[in-house]
Amino acid sequence: MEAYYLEATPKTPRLDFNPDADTFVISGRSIPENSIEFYKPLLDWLENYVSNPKKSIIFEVKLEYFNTSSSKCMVEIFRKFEKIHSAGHELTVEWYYDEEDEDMQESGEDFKDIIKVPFKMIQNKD
Amino acid sequence: MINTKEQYKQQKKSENLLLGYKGEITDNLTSSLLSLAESKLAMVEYNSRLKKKVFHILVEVLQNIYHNYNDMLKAPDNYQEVFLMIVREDKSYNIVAGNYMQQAHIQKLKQRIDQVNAMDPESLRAKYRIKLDEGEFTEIGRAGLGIMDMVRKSGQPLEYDFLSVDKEYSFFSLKINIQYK
Repeated sequence: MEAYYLEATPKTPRLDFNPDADTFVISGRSIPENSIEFYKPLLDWLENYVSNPKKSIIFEVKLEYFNTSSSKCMVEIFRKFEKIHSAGHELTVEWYYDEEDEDMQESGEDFKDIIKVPFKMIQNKD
Repeated sequence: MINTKEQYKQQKKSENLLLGYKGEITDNLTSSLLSLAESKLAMVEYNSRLKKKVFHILVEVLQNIYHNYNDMLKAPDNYQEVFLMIVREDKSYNIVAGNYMQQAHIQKLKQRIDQVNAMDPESLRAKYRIKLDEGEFTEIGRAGLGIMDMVRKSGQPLEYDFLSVDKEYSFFSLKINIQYK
């Protein structure tokens, strides 16, 4: 299975999903007009990955901010990870946020509340 | 009662106007407006938390307008005009937007805003999480989250008004106040 990698743009995040790595990363900002169009290839990739995942994976979310339509897609991504987790694999989401950024912290808490995988809130160090 | 067109006339020459736009809207234009807003904010606002909040809410406002714009492409040309302003006051920012819409959509939008405006932060958070959890991706779902997001992030009710312009269309004015905390 090939890695799924995208560079960041002013409106879309960097996506780093390498099936051989222990860590997946999404970072930057996510404010595309059409979030479904942007996230569909990643969701397809994850759907394939779910059938043969690694034993232990960390998903790092290092977003500066995202729009509400991206948040719906984020839920879909987390749902794939729920599948991996419920199949008995170790999976942890790490949600990074700046100390003064109560909005990103709050968003993390929102997902943590509704997603059924271990979910760590991590404050960025300067 | 907020009237964005009046505000636009008043603010046009004001030095408080950080960004003002009046015209059609396209995918490319929303991108340009956002990057312009971002660099303007970077020049005048040192509080990074507030800067981010204003920008974030602007994204939602602009994208909400853009996503509903398809309906307006059949409308007369002058109804395709959209207004957007960022006004910097002493202790707060105002994002003021205006766009035409079909009257058929007003009732629903009004209901939704009134509902969100009336919620306390706790119930708003709970409602937001339920919506997010539902995960279904519809235009309505998106608009619903957008409005809740604006109120949550600004911490204040949305100010709005509809002004009927003919039998079929109304002008929708929206104002969001974001304060220093």
